[in-house]
Amino acid sequence: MSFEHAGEEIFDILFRRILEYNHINYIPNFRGIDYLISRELIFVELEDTVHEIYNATYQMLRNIIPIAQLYYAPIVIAIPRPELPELLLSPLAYFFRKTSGFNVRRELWIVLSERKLIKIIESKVTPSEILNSISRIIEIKLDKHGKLTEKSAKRLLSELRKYT
Amino acid sequence: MVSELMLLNALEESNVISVLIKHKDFETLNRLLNALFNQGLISRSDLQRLALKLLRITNAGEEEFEKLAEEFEKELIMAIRIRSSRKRDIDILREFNMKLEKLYKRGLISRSDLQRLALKLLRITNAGEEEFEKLAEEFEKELMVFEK
Repeated sequence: MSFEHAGEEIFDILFRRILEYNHINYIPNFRGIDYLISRELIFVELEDTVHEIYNATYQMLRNIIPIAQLYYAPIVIAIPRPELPELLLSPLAYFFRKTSGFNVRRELWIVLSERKLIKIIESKVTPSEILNSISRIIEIKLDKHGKLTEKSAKRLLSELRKYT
Repeated sequence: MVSELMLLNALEESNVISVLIKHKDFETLNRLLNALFNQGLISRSDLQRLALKLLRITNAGEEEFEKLAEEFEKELIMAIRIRSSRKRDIDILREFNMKLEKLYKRGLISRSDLQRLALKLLRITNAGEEEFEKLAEEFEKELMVFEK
């Protein structure tokens, strides 16, 4: 079962339970972003569908990146498991491309259940430290302009299909 | 919400850019460029181009100064105008992605079509400003065939 399209409020409850179960402190609604995770200073924006990733990226560019850059902090968009992983490709590529060139670490988290996450990160970049014990990390390759290549997209698709 | 058009009118009516250049307030002009970029009102390539032009103005002798200043103002206004005249890429991409979902859920495209079209949308997402419009137009036409 996927929480996609269940509404952001429902997904928010699930996400908050994950943080609390893992004893992670957070500040909700910090400067227009859904969560600031205080242990490692991670900015997290929740979206309940893959389509909202485009707007979340724009919001991060406007509100969060200027601050996150000061700390080389991770900026994260978290979504529920997408029903159709094919539809993640363009929004994911948009997120990584538009935020390239800034001094931040970018991650996209897919929440599979209360006990399982996927972290999609750029290859050769250290992932954020929290929730790694319940996370499967998938690295994607970007070209020198920060673009997700077709080859890497296909590889990502076949990885994601194992979970959908 | 203030639209790009209202901002343009305010910039043009107040003459604020020429005043800043005349007073050689390059720090504020630089901040203005960055703020316009951060708000999505000018593109990254425009930001780079205009920042370089500003640098040239700071180094220009008196004769060249006025000419470059005038060019800078025109180019900045034009950059905002171009940006505001076309629908933002974000809206176009989002609309396409949602359309793919609808087509698949209505049984109008197969799973392999979905993958092929999603990869095509990835190419549009990666495209530069010039190529973007052409690819988006082609993609729209392709989707219309399935919608019929």
